[in-house]
Amino acid sequence: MDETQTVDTEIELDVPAADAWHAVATPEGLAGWLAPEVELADVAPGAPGRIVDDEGVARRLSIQRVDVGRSVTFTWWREDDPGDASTVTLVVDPAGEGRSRLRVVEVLVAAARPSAWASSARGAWLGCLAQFGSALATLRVRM
Amino acid sequence: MNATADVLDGLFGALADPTRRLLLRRLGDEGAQSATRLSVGLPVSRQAIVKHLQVLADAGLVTAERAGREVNYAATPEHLSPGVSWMVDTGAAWDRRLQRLKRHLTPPT
Repeated sequence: MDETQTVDTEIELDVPAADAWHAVATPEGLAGWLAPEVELADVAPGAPGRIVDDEGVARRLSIQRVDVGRSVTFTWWREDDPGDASTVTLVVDPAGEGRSRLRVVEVLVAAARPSAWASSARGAWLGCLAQFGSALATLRVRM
Repeated sequence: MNATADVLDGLFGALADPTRRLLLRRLGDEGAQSATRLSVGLPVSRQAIVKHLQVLADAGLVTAERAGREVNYAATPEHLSPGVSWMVDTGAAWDRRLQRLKRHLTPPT
């Protein structure tokens, strides 16, 4: 498959856009939700970071762009497999009084390789379906 | 919308329903079986299960094979390409992160 792979999802938050912005544009804000372990000194272009996600996979990240009050873009990749890189953009918008919306767009930079797919057991893949929640309904795929 | 996008819409539409995810998991865990056997222990009619299986079949996630008077259904997740697999896994990961963010931003009462 040569097309660009994109995941585009969003969530409504019961806090003003300024609070949502703090959660995506500061190291302490991101540490509260992005992953169980977040090491990040700054959210500014060029700033490096490292996270360990829910599956225990370590990822390096590099902040690419910050549009103050609106969006943060970073690239991240698996520490043990730097070829598996993707770019994430977090966009904060107001959504009525005291509410806001966070949109997430993750674009795969490197082509997904068949090896990774082949190594994932059929049972494991089916197991991941169990974790699917309501966000799937809003998961949009653009080709 | 091109043909590939149609296929993906069908795939995500098929996976968006909890009953269909349950059926797909059971076919994966327990092996191929009939709609009658799948309906045992489920609060859904056999007829409704056949409809769900048809949606999964249209998305390429299960295949149907006639065995005597019954039709056996089998899961075929290998039909998912690596790219689709990445989207499914990545979407699930963001689902977890965004739910955690929502909890994190909810002030303790």
